[in-house]
Amino acid sequence: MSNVTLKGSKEGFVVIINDGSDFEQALKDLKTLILKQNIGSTDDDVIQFTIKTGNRLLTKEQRKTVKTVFKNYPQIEIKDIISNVEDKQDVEELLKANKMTIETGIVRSGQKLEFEGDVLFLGVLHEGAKISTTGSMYILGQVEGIVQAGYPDNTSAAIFGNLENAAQLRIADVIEIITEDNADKLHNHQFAYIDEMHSISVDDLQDYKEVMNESRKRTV
Amino acid sequence: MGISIVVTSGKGGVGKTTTTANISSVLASLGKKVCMVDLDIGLRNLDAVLGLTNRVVYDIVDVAQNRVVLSQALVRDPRFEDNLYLLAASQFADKYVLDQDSVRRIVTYLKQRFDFVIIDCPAGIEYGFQNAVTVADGAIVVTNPELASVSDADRVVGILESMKMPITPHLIINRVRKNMINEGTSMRIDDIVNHLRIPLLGVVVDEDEVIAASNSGKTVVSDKNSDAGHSYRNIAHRMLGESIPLDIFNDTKKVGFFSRVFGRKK
Ligand SMILES: Nc1ncnc2c1ncn2[C@@H]1O[C@H](COP(=O)(O)OP(=O)(O)OP(=O)(O)O)[C@@H](O)[C@H]1O
Ligand SMILES: [Mg+2]
Repeated sequence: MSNVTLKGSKEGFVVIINDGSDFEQALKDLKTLILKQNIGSTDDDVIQFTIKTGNRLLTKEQRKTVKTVFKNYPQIEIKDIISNVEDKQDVEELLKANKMTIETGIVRSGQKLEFEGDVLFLGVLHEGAKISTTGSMYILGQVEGIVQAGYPDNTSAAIFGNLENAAQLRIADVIEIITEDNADKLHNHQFAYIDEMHSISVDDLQDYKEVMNESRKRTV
Repeated sequence: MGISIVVTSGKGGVGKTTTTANISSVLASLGKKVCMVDLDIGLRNLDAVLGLTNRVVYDIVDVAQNRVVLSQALVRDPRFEDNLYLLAASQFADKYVLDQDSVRRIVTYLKQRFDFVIIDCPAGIEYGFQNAVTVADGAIVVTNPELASVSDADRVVGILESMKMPITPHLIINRVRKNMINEGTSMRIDDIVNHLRIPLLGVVVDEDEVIAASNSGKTVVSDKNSDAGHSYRNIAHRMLGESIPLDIFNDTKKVGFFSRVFGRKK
């Protein structure tokens, strides 16, 4: 089997770098392969390639080198570099980001609890206290402090539950200050999310699916 | 071996020194050996509240800096035979002269000689507070029925809980105004207790007699007609493990709540 193989598939062109090959050698073969394609400079269409590295995980450096090879030819472009395997650390972070933590304690004034992933909060969050997580926040306890979801920049996170006594809701970098004027729309069975104006909106839980579908349409 | 208890609040001026003086006097009159330690360096006033100012010769800083031995610096309160002593704060030094090690050494020694070492803590949560709470076995958190005071108490309770003291922090709500509670213009006792979620040791009313007593160097517990004095006596008894129902709001509808707290039917 050769070091680099070019294939056409329904996703477009795919270059497979054999994971048993020597990387330096494969790189050279890649260059030759590109040259062989006889890409005319008159052709205006940019051709996109996906690079698959099999069971090899390229380091940051190696990814860069591959990308520079392609940079020399403005007519071709890398869509993505995909491997069958994942970095262990990345996987652990992914798992952490997707887990649900249950918190039951009292968070007092001046205390700050930080989580990763989604949080089910059954405890009591006092005034002057803060809970923060990278994912969404499901509140079944009492909150009078600051609730942060989607820290620091996850705008698809949301905050669910009884929020009328909270001091502030924060999602990603957006802050909503709760005052007498807006507290009454934050009764139980509500959820807060980031709307198309990039500000925090509040809706009925029963409309959750609809709202999320709308927002997904926007981001795609 | 006795126990050390720090009287603390977060917010200033809520009644830490008054509480220290009164519960210490009651415990001493009940035959316990009690030593009060004033850690409010630079702002000492526990001695004044007790009318002991003239008797102070050496203070805690003299002990920490080895100018005198501890027993020389203890001021005896002559009204309580051999039961009540005070280790005064220094009026002249600044608070940073006392480090945690010397405070620990002094309190550990006092615990061997006394049943109770009651530490009057400075307001705030900085240096002096840290020194006081790290050497204590337990804490009494004093608050007034006001939002700012309760919020600072909450902050303090959080810090105390994270220190995992042998005795959980207990609460005293001081300067309660019955009329304001009945009018609904003051925070309610059960709201404060439900918020802070620590055991309630007692409730003390706001009363002119407290100020009058401390102005004359006496504690209000010596005034048999004072409601506040009565409450402080009950608090001291509760500290000794007796279960005495809270009675100051017997005439309101909150009896159910109190019996819940102390597991007693009234
Ligand atoms: N129950 C009460 N009724 C009326 N006055 C009170 C009561 N408790 C305390 N006081 C008064 O409130 C003032 C402050 O009390 P105290 O000095 O005990 O507070 P503190 O918490 O020790 O203050 P600091 O933080 O400055 O050390 C004093 O004048 C005291 O007499
Ligand atoms: Mg004081």
